[in-house]
Amino acid sequence: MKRKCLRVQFFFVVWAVVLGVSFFLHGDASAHRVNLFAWVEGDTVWVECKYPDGTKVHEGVIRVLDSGGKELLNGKTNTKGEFSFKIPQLDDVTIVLEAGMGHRADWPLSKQDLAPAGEAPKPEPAAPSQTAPKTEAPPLAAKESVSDAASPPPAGIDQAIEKALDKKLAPVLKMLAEMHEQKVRLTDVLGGVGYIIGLVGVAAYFKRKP
Amino acid sequence: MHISEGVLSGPVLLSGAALAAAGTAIGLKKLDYDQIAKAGMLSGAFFVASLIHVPLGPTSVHLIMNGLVGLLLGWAAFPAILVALALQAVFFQFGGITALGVNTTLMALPAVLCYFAFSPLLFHRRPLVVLAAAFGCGFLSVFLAGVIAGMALMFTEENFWGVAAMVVAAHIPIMIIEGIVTALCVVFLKKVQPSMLPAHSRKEGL
Repeated sequence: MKRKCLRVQFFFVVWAVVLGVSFFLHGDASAHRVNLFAWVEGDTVWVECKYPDGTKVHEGVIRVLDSGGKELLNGKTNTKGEFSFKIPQLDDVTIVLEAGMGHRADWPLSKQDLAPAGEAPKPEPAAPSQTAPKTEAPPLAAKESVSDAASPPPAGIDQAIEKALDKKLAPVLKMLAEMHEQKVRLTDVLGGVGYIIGLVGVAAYFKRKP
Repeated sequence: MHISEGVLSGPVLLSGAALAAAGTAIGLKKLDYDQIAKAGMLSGAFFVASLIHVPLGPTSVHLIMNGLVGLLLGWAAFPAILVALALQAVFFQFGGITALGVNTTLMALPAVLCYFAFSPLLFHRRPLVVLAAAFGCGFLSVFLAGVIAGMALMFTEENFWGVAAMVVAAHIPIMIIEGIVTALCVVFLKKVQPSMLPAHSRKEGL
């Protein structure tokens, strides 16, 4: 009788643990992994770093590498997990986050990302650009706009549109950043447990007694 | 405690993988038919335990449970932890496939060591000794994992004592929590399902 009681207790505890785990999952529980998201706004690159449970990474080291792997600049995230820097040069760059103790994430940004269409017309009138320092190869977007824009609109409108777009797109970009974050989902957990049960079956098959 | 991909250098990754492969081979060899279900259960527990996290300063730590897995499985902890880590890498992007060997070694090796150190004490006459052994098992397995992680990181971040101390210090709360959880599990299993505890230790105390 006592034995049966204990069995019931055992199952109750297992059940409680499962419930507890699913509760933690609802609180976006997760663990060791960092998320990095970067986007371009005008001539500035914004970087946002979070742990999968939504905690911000503060004091995480950010390093920006060019296409050859050379470090262009570095810095630390603030308490909100954010970091921003002016585009150092038009090149394919990789943003690397090192949050310490083996946590690492990176985010590549291509040349086209760094030179959005709105910025391209500036070098068009052969005036020296004041923003991003020019590299040997002019950005692709610049060539396109030369052929497209038969009657170039006044520069002021361009910039106004650019600004307005940046403003309007900011929440969308934020949303994308949130979608990009890979949170732990219940389906993944159940899938993993299923895999383990399957492997137990495989092991039992191979270790069966003849 | 999971080390991400792209942090460690090639030789460290390779030696970690070699150690993990050797441990897994021994574990699979020692795993007999009756133990398979237990190994699977503990592998599942390990897989899920990493999702229970404790926010802590700038980072967050999670339950590891390698002590309990080691205590109950012995060498079979290697394959059990390898499977759970592989699934975590694929599903949750914890760690990563290339770092799988290192991560397996740093969690399973302390588990096996703690098995040899503490399982003979599990059926000691004095309940306090049993409790202390179980607590020590949970505590030390995380501590040793931190030391191994520090050793692995030493080759990339250079100053070993700084890194190792940081990793270990960050995990002190989780060591205590693990110790308590492991002790509770052992006490509970002794009451309910003593056959789950390692068999050879039962002869000692009785």
